[in-house]
Amino acid sequence: MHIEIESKRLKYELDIKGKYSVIQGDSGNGKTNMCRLLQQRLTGDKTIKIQSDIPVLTIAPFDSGEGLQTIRNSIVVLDENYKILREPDVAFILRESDNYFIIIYRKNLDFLPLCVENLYEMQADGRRHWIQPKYTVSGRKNFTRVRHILVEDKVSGFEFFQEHFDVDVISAMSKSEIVRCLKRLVEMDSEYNDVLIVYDAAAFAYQKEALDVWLDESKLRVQILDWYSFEHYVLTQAPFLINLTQEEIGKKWESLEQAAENQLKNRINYHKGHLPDCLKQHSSCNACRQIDTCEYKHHVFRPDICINEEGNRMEVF
Amino acid sequence: MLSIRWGTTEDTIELVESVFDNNYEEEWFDDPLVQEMVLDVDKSRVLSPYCIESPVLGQIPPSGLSGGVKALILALKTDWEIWATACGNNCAKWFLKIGELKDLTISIEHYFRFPETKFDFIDAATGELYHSYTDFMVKYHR
Repeated sequence: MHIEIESKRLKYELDIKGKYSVIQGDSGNGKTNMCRLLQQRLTGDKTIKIQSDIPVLTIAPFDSGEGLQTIRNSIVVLDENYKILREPDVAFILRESDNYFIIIYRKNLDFLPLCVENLYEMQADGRRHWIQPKYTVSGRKNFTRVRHILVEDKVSGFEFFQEHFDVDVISAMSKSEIVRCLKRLVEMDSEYNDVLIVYDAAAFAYQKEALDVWLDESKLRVQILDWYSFEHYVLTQAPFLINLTQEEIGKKWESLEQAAENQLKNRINYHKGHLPDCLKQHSSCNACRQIDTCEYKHHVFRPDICINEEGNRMEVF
Repeated sequence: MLSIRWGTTEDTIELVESVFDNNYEEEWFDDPLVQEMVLDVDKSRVLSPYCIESPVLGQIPPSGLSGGVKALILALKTDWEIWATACGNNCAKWFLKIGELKDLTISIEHYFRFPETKFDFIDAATGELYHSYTDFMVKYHR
């Protein structure tokens, strides 16, 4: 979605996707001024021009969420000084709201499933302001010289790597534990190296910076598999061949991970708690209660991720 | 000496903008260090305690300064514990500088990038002396 907010002295051009976008960046780059313009527009200043397919507005800084309940299908901009961001139930308020949010806030909002592509930095050149994603998703699937796999996931994603790859696999148990887990592994084993780190880009924005800084300092040889989520990846494979995008899911879902999980559940007997038989190398579908409608009935799950040049992926199909 | 706290306390000044606007003193703007910080962070010149010249907005009052530079000025001129998450990474070097001049405690709730990761500071929660900011962040960052 393209948005333009313009006054005589300031112009903002923003391109966003997905329910949540967070803007950070250096001080003095005009982030708070953008919110001030929207407040002034709200009070009736028609010299401030806004261009967007759906309304772009803000709420009162002292609003705890009541005002938000009256707003639908809009882009709501929230600044770090707003009371709503300090409410204990802010996660619920935002999740239940039928709006897109642009949040100007540096604090780590761990409750927010923020895609790494939706964390932006404000850039400015005189009057003109724009946002630039801080990180991108590489989508890389081929990896060489991998001795260990570290997965943020503790269930299905973790079991997937254990099942399909003949490499040491460890779960960090949660995304916020990846750096601490790596540090512990390196301290325990000075030879620990050549690690493939797997994280869900659909909700890893706040952890990415800490990981990058630590990796820079540690000099560990690391490769990154940054799929949006395990479920999103499975959907991209045969027989589904569905590549869900943030543009497609809009504000219906908080993240691509949630949307993909829902889609996968509708197609196979999938629950996040464990890797179902149909995603294993030796499936035994006969006992599956969803066998009649399952799309794997006539297909075999063959992941296209390749680890190690000698083909460590087990080809036993 | 600089002390850093991960998180906030009841005493942390979180609403930096509002607290600055309602409490700044005119003579603060006579301090060359304040003028230098305003120029470096906001690219603006202090013309007087009542008037700042911004290259984009023209002449503005001190209340028009960025949240980051307001936090730095409060950190320099008061004994309050300031919420440094109001500040972009371009403010980090100034906290190190202020920490050389006085005892100062800042609260952070984000991955604040200092120009270098090896410097001495105190963990405000435990009183422990740290030499590596990365070690501190790995301990607390979630």
